[in-house]
Amino acid sequence: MTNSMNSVKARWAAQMRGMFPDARLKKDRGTEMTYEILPRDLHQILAYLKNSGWRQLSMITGVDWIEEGQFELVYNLFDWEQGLRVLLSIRIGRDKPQVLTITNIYAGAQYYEREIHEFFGIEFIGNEDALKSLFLERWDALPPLRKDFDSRAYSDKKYVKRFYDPVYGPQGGAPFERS
Amino acid sequence: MSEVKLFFGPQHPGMHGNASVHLYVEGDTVKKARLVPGMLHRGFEKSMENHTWMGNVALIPRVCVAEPDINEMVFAQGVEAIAEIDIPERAHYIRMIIMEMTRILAHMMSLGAISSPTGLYTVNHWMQADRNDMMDIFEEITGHRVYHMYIVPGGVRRELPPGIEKRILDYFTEFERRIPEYQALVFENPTILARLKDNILLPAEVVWELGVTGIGMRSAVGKPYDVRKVTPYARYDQVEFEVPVATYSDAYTRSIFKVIEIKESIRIIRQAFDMMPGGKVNVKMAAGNALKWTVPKGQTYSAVESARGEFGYYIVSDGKTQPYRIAVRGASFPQGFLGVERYMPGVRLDDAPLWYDTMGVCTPEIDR
Repeated sequence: MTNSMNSVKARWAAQMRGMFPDARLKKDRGTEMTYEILPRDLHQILAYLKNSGWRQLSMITGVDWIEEGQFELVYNLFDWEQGLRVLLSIRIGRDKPQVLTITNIYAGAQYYEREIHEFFGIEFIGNEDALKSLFLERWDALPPLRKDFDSRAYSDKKYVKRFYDPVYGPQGGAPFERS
Repeated sequence: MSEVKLFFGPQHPGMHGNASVHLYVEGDTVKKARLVPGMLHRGFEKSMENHTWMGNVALIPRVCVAEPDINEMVFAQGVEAIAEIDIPERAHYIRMIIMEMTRILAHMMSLGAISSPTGLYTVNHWMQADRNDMMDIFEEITGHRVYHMYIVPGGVRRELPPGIEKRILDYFTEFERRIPEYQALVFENPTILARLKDNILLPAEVVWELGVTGIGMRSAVGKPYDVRKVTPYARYDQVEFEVPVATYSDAYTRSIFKVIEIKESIRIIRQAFDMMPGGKVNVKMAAGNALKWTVPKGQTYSAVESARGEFGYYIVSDGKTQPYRIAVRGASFPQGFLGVERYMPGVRLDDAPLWYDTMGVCTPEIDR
């Protein structure tokens, strides 16, 4: 991390504080800054960031904080020119989770939102495509990346338990016949 | 003319991994295309939450088949960032050697994959033979051929075996002698050139729209946007290497860039062996029994430059013995889904596998 990069970052962070007082810098790891923001500010901040150099949306991902009754969505932006990464994290309620789509700002978000809808059951208003299933065909249980989804219990319920009791040797017949 | 629906994959020689692209064609022009994943879904992200931090080392390389070590590297880097562990200097250089060797493996695989869409199977046979020798070297270093489980949080699993430096450098001397032969076979071959040159363009606007990274991005945007250069990890800021760039991205540019990157990777490996200090190769991630190791609370995104672009893990720890959440950013996710949907239409049917290969789509990292 060079000095010029540090000054660019400091200037930018000050600007961000001025424009969005509700955004809280949660962690600064040099080239990676994590902000906690309010869901209603999300689009404004994303549009501002996209115009200030963060042209790439690296990914969107979700975290299920079941004890707090919240979902966290993390928007991961990267500025290739400055080498700075910004993670924007929003929290939404766990029952009937809904958030507005960001495909109008970052077109590449379309499939990330669809993936999150499938794995967390979060609805993205304005992205109808995200309601369709993607990886899991005919899924019939809770969205699987939620913490209350138990993969072992699901597997035990869904599939018949099979027992293997092979008998080897002359009595059971050799698995391969040799001539 | 009527529209016909065709399936490109999962059983198709041009498809990488078990995914399917549903193609709607009219004549031999693709009118509509959709990537349909799901056949390769192994539930990695859920499974990672059910394994211990060290147990995950055995699981994660399996996310990407052609290039497994990037997974170990992002995982180890992320855990070290959260736990604030400094690893020995020697481990950084060993990691760089492993990472560049695996990049060469992945580039060989994808160059070899040009064979099935173009009908020139010789290139694949040659590449697989060279990969095989490299996998023998990996076997000597790590004990495994495909999934190495060598880079662990805290360094690397064990010291390099004696005499490996000579074996690796001899291999690359021989391989460099063969590169002109590869170039004559592929890039001076009129049948291949006719398929690659000025075909399957990737303009810079599309790169930004989709979020494509890696060779696709650098060949279109004309800037050295490589994670190794922009935010150097390991000791990439200590070695000298060039990143090829261009402003016109056709299938030919993207393919020949792989050859240039292979040469640069060999350069990095030579420098790393020269600069490598002695000493320990790992530190303990935590004290006590490995099954009870914990990582302090925190979250981070750790990324490396894979053969296909930015590959990263978003890691969340709640201070317990297992990760709370790990999300995988497959490097080819953007072009694999939105790219196929928006920009595969318009190509000829026989170019669809070539599109899929030269855009660098790796199915296992998308459908993990």
